[in-house]
Amino acid sequence: MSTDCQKTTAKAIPSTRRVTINDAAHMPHDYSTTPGGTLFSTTPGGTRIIYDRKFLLGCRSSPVAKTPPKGLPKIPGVTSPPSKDTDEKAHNGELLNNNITAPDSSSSTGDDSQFEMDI
Amino acid sequence: MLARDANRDIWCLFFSPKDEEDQEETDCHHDNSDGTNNNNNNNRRKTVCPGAGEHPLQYNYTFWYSRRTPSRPASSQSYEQNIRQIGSVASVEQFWRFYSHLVRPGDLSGHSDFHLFKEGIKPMWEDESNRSGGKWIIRLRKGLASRFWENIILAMLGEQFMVGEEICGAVVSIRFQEDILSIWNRTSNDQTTTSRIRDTLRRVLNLPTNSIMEYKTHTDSLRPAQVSHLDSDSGKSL
Repeated sequence: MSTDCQKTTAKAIPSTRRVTINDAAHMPHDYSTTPGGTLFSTTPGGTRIIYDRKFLLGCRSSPVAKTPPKGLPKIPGVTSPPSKDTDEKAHNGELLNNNITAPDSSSSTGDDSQFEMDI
Repeated sequence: MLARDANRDIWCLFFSPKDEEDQEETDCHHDNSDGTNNNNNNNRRKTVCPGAGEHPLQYNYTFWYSRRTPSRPASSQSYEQNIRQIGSVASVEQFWRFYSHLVRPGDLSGHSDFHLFKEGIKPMWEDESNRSGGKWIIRLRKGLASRFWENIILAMLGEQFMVGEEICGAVVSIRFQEDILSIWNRTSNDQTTTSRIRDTLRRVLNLPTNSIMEYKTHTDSLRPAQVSHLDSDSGKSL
């Protein structure tokens, strides 16, 4: 998000652009483009939904993301049935991936502070 | 993060999830199953959709788990019986729901694997999507699997690999003395794709120096005693 504080004249983001066509020959051959070119640029291979790691980790703490999923099979030693929130350290001793209440636990920072151990 | 919702053609600047009374994943209306999850539910019965206010993924993914007891031979048939679906996800939030209720790979016992594959692709080379494919594998010493698994799947879910439809899925394999991370793609002889996957792995995983990445075609993996780093046209080791 921009933190630019300059005063500028606000303009609406253009959502349409009108191009007048009088001749069928001017229509694009490619079904996915519009005359005059597409307004929104696309990434190579088309528009994709891209999330970076930091964003994905940020979604983890939302309430929607914490409830037990429907239909989770019970596999001892693999899946964890719904449990109460517990205090967990991010590393040693943590059995489950869940219930990380502190969003900045060391496994979720975006930087390389994960590397506590000698490699 | 700015993300475009391809289905609804809007830019999502930030979503505050709606009030969470409805916390269940939304089944698409073409669900034709009764919703129960049987053991070894390997036949895909339903498709999931993102819930309201959730962040959709580019693809739906399915979690699988497999385990082999050391005494049992690893025949193709026994492998299929030992692998089972855990659940499918269509949004970031659904992913976290499942992931948060799974044990970390480093804490799995025995000869176990987690697989996260695009919905509709079984994590087996015989699946149509895998027949011409291969995988990058990274061997990790014990203690690293949990962290690297998380990073590789976040990269995959977040479309960081930028290879179109080529990614099939990722696997973390817990073994006796080392663990193995792999990422499978559809076309083993597409060098542009395999190089880009390799470069992305280096970037997103921040591997320990001296890590070796090997590319193996799935058919190579079936041949006995094949020395994989001699594959001439399937990519190189670091």
